[in-house]
Amino acid sequence: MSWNSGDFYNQQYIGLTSYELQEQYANGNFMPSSFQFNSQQFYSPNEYLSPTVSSTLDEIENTEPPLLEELGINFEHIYKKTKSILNPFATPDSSILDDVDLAGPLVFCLAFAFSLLLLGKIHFGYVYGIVTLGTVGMYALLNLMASSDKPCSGIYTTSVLGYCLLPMVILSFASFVFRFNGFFGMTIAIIFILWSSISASKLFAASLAMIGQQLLVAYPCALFYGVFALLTMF
Amino acid sequence: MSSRGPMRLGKNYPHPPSQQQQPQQQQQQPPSQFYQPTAPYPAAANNYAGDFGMPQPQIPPSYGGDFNVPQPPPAPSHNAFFSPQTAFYAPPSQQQMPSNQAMPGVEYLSNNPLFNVGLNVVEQGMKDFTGKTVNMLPNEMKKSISSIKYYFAVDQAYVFKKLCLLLFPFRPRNWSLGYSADEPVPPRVDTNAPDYYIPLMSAITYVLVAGLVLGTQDRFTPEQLGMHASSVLVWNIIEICVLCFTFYIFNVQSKLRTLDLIAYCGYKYVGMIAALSSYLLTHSLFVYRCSLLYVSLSLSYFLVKCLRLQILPDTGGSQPYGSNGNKRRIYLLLLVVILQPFFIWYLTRHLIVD
Repeated sequence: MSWNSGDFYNQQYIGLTSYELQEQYANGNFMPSSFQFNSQQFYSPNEYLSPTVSSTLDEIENTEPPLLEELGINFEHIYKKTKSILNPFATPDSSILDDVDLAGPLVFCLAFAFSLLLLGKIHFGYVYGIVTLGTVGMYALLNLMASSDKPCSGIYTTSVLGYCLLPMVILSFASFVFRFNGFFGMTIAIIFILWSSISASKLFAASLAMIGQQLLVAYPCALFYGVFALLTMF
Repeated sequence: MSSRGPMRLGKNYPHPPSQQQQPQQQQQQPPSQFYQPTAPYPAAANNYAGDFGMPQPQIPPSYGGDFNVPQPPPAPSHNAFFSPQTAFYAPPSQQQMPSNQAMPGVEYLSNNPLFNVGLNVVEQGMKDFTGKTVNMLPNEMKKSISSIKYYFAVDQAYVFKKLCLLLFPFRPRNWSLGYSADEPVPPRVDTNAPDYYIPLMSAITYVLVAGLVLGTQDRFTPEQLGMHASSVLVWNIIEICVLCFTFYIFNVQSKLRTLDLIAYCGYKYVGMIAALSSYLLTHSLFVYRCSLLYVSLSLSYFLVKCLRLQILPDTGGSQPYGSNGNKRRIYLLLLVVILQPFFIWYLTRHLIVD
């Protein structure tokens, strides 16, 4: 550049047009091509400037587990456990014994409380209270009765007791359709209670290795489900 | 009341082989609890049923049983009561497991399932971190949990025999308690030993049967269940307090512990259920009164036979508790025995509608 005033004002722009400049900078270069150095000798920022955006999203999606797995809801196991409860005299599948989930129990408790709504009884609070008290009591009783090397956790008892509530849900929906009064109704209720408690005690005794105590575990379960039968029938 | 203190196993009682559970638990936890291929764990018998989230792998090898001396897991010396195998052992063989002498109160913690994981982890962590031993729970609480576990060591045969005994105790039989090395034998071995399973279950059954009776009379609401449960609890507490106070006032030293007394006072609920069921089936006041009478008689007979050996002094042999106060002991026994039918009547009369 010269400092002559004439040259200064009359200069024409020599160099790259803006479009060409944009091209150069679009490739992620900090510096225009005339200033690019030999990349072997100098740090070249090109490699660090343009990871392709699309591959980042793919990686993020691939490393995250699917939503249901993350929540722990395994439909296969839920289906298997429900099937094993519907048949109380079959031995349980050992693969599902240790799987603990609370989704099934939650659904069954809510279904029971909703079926009471059909009967005109708004007993959500009582259902919740009885489930809580019964689970805590069952947890304490199982830990006191079982031998010390196989303790059970509160979540496990909640899961088992909640799944075996399914027959009581069936009973309460059925009592909306039929009227269970008198001796016949009590017999039906007793059958359903026995069904639930045999399933629950079978699961408890199998996983906690209680020898000669299955009936002893079945009886508290029968009491627990008996309260639900009382709520349904009266 | 007894001044024996909490129950401990005698040295000659057979101990089960020491359990290798804790060192094996470290390597078994999978990294994720979701969608595991469903092969059970290699030592599945030792795992906590259904417990996945516990920080097992980080527990150092000295976990489990002993917190002061880093040795392999010591003998769970009181486990002999509560595992099914040892209940049927022959008279004690002389095998001894190596028992640690450090902190005898702490070993009751070691196999207590209610406190095993969390407390041990915290205590071990604190010990590693600070180098001091920290007790998360007072020793008395750990001991009392293990002594309550004694009353729950029952099995089906015991429960059946005891129920038959409560309803028909009039056959001649041997009412003395079994002892093993100066310790009472758990209920699954000796039918005469008191337990907590039957009183607890029959108390809850009473609440349900009361609800049933109210339901047949169209008087049922779910609050009634709570009210009956509260009344059961409160009347039990009152009864035990009155009896303990009377024992104290009369200054009667006997082999009967408070925990035993709670068990014996809980057997009346079986009678209550029998009376209520007879009323439920027949709806007749006469049948109810007859069954009340019969149940009171049989329960009184049962309690006299059971408690006579414990409250009254021995006629022969050594008398460690002194022979004075025989009359007081008899009055005390009569008090216990008369309270039971009174409560049976009082807790069922409001359910009976003529």
